[in-house]
Order: sequence, then C-alpha cells, then structure tokens
Amino acid sequence: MIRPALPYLLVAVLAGLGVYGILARRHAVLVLVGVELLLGAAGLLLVTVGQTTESDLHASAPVLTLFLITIAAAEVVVALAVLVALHRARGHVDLAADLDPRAVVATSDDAPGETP
Amino acid sequence: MSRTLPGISLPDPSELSWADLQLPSLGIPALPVPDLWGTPAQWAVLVPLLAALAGVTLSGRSNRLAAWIGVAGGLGTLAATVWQLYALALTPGARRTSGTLGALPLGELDAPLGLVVTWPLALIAVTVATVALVVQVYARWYLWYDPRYRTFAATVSLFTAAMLLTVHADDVLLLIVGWEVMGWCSFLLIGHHSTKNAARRAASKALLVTRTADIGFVLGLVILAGGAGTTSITRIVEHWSSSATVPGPSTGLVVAMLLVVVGVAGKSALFPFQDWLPDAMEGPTPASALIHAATMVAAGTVVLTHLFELLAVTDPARLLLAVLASVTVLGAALLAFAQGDLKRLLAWSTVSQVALMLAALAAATPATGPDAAAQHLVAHAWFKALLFLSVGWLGVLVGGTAMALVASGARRYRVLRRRLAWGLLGLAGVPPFVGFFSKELILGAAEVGALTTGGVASVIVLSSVGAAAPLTAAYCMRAWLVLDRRTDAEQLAATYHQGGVERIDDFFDEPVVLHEAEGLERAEAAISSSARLGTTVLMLMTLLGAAVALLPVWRSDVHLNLQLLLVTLLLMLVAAVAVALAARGVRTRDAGARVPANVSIAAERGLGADYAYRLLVATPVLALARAVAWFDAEVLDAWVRGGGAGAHLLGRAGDWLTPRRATPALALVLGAVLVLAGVGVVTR
Repeated sequence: MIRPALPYLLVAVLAGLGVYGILARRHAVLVLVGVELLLGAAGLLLVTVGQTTESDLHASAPVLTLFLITIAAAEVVVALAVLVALHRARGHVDLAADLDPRAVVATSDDAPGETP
Repeated sequence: MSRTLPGISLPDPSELSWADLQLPSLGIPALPVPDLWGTPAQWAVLVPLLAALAGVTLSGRSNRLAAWIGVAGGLGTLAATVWQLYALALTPGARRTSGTLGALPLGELDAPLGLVVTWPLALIAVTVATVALVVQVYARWYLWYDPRYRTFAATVSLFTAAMLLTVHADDVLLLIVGWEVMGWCSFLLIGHHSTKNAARRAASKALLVTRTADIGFVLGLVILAGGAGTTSITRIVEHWSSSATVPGPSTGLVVAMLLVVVGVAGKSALFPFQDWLPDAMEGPTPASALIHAATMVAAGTVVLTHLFELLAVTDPARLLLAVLASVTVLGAALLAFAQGDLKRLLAWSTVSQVALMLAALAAATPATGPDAAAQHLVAHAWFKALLFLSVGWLGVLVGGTAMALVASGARRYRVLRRRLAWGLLGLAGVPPFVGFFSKELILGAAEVGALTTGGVASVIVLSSVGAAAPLTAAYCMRAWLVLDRRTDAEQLAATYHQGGVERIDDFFDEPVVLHEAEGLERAEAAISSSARLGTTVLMLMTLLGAAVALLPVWRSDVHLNLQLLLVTLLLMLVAAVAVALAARGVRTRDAGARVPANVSIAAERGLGADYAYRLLVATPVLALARAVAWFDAEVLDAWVRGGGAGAHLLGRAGDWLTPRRATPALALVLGAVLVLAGVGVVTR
C-alpha cells in the first residue's frame, strides 16, 4: 500500500491550480484547461481513495474514473466547439467581457482589439 | 292408483320420471379413428379462429373466397364437435380434459389453461357449430351485395371460436377471453351497417351495457380464482365447495357469486340490463340469429353451468338470479306480445327464453343438476335460429318485418309456412317439439327444488315459469295468426265465390292457385339453395331435437309430474284461444292491435328503459366525468401551470442576480460546489 499523503497533496495542488485557472484567467481556453485540471484532480482523488481504503467496493473507484475520463473527453470536444462558435460570433474569447450581446455591441468599438 | 290392464302394465303416472322417457342407451361401435393431432375440443376452438384469420388476411377483395373460408371453417368446426361427441361416447366417465397453451407462469397463481368437455357441453358445442354454419351459409345469401360481407364472415367465425372457447373452458382466464371477445364481436356484428345511426347506437349500447355488467363478472371470477389460488374451474369448484361447510357459504363465495350473477345478467339481458337486446335487432338478421339463438346471450348459462356446484350452495346468489330471471321471463313475454314488429317480438322472446334458462339454474338444486338449463339452451338454439332466419327471409320478400307487412306471409309464401309454424310451436313448447321437453324439464326441476331443498328461489322460479308458459303461447299464437292470415285474394274468393264453383279443368285459371304459385316461386327464387337447406336443417332439428332431449346422457333424476304438465298445456291452450278470440275483427288478425296504443308504443320503447339508463347511469357518470375533468383542468393543472409561472419568475430573478460576465459566474458556481460539499460533510 502506498502512503496517501503524496497523492492527496497532488490532488490539492491540481485542484487549486484548476480553481485558479477558472477564476483568474480570462482566456476561455485557459479556463477550460482549469476545468480539465479540476477533473484530473477528481479522478486522482477517486483512484487514491479506492486504493487506500479497505472496502468491498474496490471496482467502483476505477470504474468511476474511467467514466470521468470518457466524459471529460466528450466535454472537451463540446467546449472547444462552443469556443470556436464564440470566436466566430464575437471575434474574441474573452470571458471577462460582458455576456450580454447588446453590451458587446455597445462596447464593440473598444473591446475587440485587446486579447489576454 | 295403478291401472293394470290385462297384458299391458302402464307405469303409475305418479311415479313416472324422466328416466322412463329416455331413449335406451345403445352401445357405440368403436370405429377405427386415426390418431389425430390434438383433441376435438382444441380443434373446435382453433378451426373457427383460423377461419377468422384466413378470412381477414386471405380473402382480399373476393366475397366468394371469404364465403368459402367461412363455410369451410364452419364445416370444420362442426366436424370437430361431432368427433368430440363420438370421442366422449367412448370415454368412460364421459369427461375429457385437454390443455391449450400450457400453464402460465404466474407465480403463486396456478393457471393451467385447460379445456374440459362433458355431455351437456359437447351437445351445446355441436349446436353452436351447427347454428354458426347455417348462419355462415345464410349470410352469404343475405349479404350478397353487402360491401362489408368479408368482414362479417370473418367476425362470425371469430365469434364462433369465442363461444366454443367459453363452452370448453376449464379456466377462468380462457372464460374471460371468450366472454370478452364475444362482447367485442357482438359490437361489430350489431353495428355491421355502420352507416346507419341506429345501428351504431345499438352496437355501442350493447357494448356499454354488457361491459358495465362485466365489471361484476371479472371481479367475481378474480375473487374465486384468488381465493382458490388457481384459475382452473374444476379446482376452484373443489376449493370453494370444501370451504362451504355446515354454517353456509363463506362471505367471499357469496360476494363472488353475486358479482358473477350480475355479469351473467348483463350478457344474458336479464332485467336491469335487458334493453340492449331488442335494440340489437339493428344488426343484419344472420347476426341476430347467431347472437340471440346459440351464442352470446346463452353464454351466461354456460358459465353458470360450469360454476353450478358453487351456485347451488350459495343461496343469496340463487335468490338474486331467481328474482332477476323471473322478472325478466314474465316482463319480456308481456312486452313481446305488445311489439309491432315481428323481429322485435322474437328479440323479446329471446330475452324471456334466456331468462328461463337462468331461472332453471337458479331453481336447480345439487340433486337435480343444471342439465335442464343446458337442454333448454340447445332447444332454444334450434327454434330461435330457425325463427330468426325464416323471418329474415320473409322480411326480404315483403320488405320489412313490421306486423302489417308480414301479415299473410306464411300463406303467400308457402315454403316458409312450415318453417315458421314449427319454429313458433317449438317456442311455445307444444309437444312433440323441442321446446316442450326442455320446458317441462325446467318445470320439473323447479318443482323438485321447491319441494325439497331449493328454498324460496325454486318457488319463485316455479311460479314464474308456470306463468310464462301461457304468455309464451299467447305471443306465439299472435304471431302465427298474423302470419297465417288469409291473403286478400283468398278473402275475396271466400267472399264472392261462396261455394257452387266447380272448376276441375282450367286449374291455373284459379286466381288463388296462381297467386300461390307465384308467391312460392318468388320465395324460392329469392333465397339461395344452400341457405334454404340450412333453414331446413334447423326446421328438422326443431322436431328431431326432441330426440336429443331424450338422450340418456342428461342427468334425469327429475320426477315427471303429469298433472303439472297437463295443467301447463291447458293454460297454454286457453291463452292461445283467448288470443285467437281477441284477434277476430282486426284487419291483420293481430291480437296485439287490441293493446291500447300508448301501451303498445311504451312497449316498443322497452318501457322507457333507455330513459332510465340515461337518467340513472349515463347522466351521473357523465356528471362525474365532467367533475373529474374540471378537477383535472382547474386544480391539478393549476399546480402545473403554477410550476411554469414560478419557474419563469425564478428565472427572471436568477437572470437579474446573475453577473453579466463569465468569470464571476464561474466563481459563483465554485462557491456553490463548496457549499454543497460543506452540506455533504455536515450532514454525513
């Protein structure tokens, strides 16, 4: 049995990085990277718990992780497609910009040039 | 008092019993029958079912092919039932069982889905098959130009299969299947002329009324089967008979049998449900003959024959059946007398006669057995099918069945004369026709019941059956007087050629002879030879069926009361003479014309039963339905609509609260995740 401290630490670091990416970055792709880090942290957490606890449900943790990976793969595809559509519609993928399209129209003369 | 003449010893009339009248039991030669696949009971159900399927799928647009399929199916069914008679005669104990689909896996409930046949059931099956075959042949002629003949033929086949399933079923599931299929087929047959409003209305009415009563039927059978833990009727009877101990039948049995009796009353058109049957005359004549002679209305008798041993020990159910049946026997006979239409007269007489069968079941005790009812079912099938088909034939010739139209019909069309006469004699119960034997047996069984252990139910039945005999004779006499009225030509001849005319040459110059010959020719030309042959078979069976009634296969421990018999015949004679006297001086010789007009009109409308149904059942049910619809729309849907509006408001609030930019929104989401995690940790 491995000691759980290091994996838990890695989970904490990955989750923190993910949250940071989601909250602090403006570029949509980087926010997506943050989301992926958070998912990776969740998967690692599941595997770790599954390996380090004595339980009858040995199979559930790896199965859930596989499930998570599958969902993450699909989710990335959808998210990237949304981002492409967003870029085509607005010309930028700045998540800090106002979501209201009227506001975008109103500020379109000063917003588009700047990219993070 | 035993009169012993030299050389001849007459049996003491007070000790004469039915067993003395019965034919001797003859040995049946063991013919080499090939070992066929399946049992006759299975084939009797399967053949008409296959014929119905083939009629729907194969006949395409060809009436000819549909008729061949229908008639061949009918012949096959008849062959199977006759084979069954033979097989039964060779079976010791005269009881054969067979399976169908194999047992159903229903867990604790045992459902073997078996078939059973005993002598009464086998004879009923032969009768049903014969009548169905004749109806198929007759329908080919009657509906020659009908665009929906193919459907009709297939429906008749399906109907036959359902009835034979009901007859042979030893399993309540099969019983319910046959019963329900018959109900639906009757809807199709009655509503055959689907472009007529009256036919559609009659079909819906028949379906609704019988299905309303079916609620009781199904519930009763469910109680019986559930209590016994099996759906096999034999085992149900065993279970409940053993549980019915000395203090009387258990509450469950009483409730179940009362419900079954209600269901039977619906299908057999007993008193509160009687009004669907006369309206069902909107169906084509072959359908009327099939539904009202041998099959659907008689199915109740068959079911109660299956369950007889339970009925006989359940006094409340017997009493209910006796009261309903007695009211129906007398009321329907009275109404039949007042009808202005011959076909409706026959319909009401069917109501009366079917009630007579059920009355016999109510009056019977375990000692007498249910055979009187089964025997009357068989007899009724012969003469009622004959009467319906002959009247339908006459209706085609004269353009309707109203009394004014059919007057002199039996004289104008001599070929119909014997058919109508024999049918009416059988219906009235005049010896030696079939009706006589079965009615006397019913009287005898009721008398035995009334004198021994039958109780008040037998007494009620005995009095009502005794009173019904002269009433039946009265309306039969009325119909016959109208049918046998002298034609106008004969009347003129009688008025203006009062004797003295001796013309032995120039035979065909006689207007009467010419008229008659012409009528005969028209009648012969109108019908197909096969349909005529079918009615001939029925006519012969109306007479020869008496031999069936005397077969040594019926339970016959009924005492024959000669005095009762003579009194009944005398009453019938008096009634007939009274009707004949009343008919004098009426132009159509219709004694019914003496009935006051408003009474006659009320009788034609079934004494307002239709109005009563609407007032007592349809209006409250519709009001309840409207109330439920209102509750659904205004109360239940209000919550749903409120959910919509609430979600809308919530969405507006959320929209107003949500940050306009993505990052703070994501921060909110993460915060919410934290809160959820916190909730999870705290409530762990």
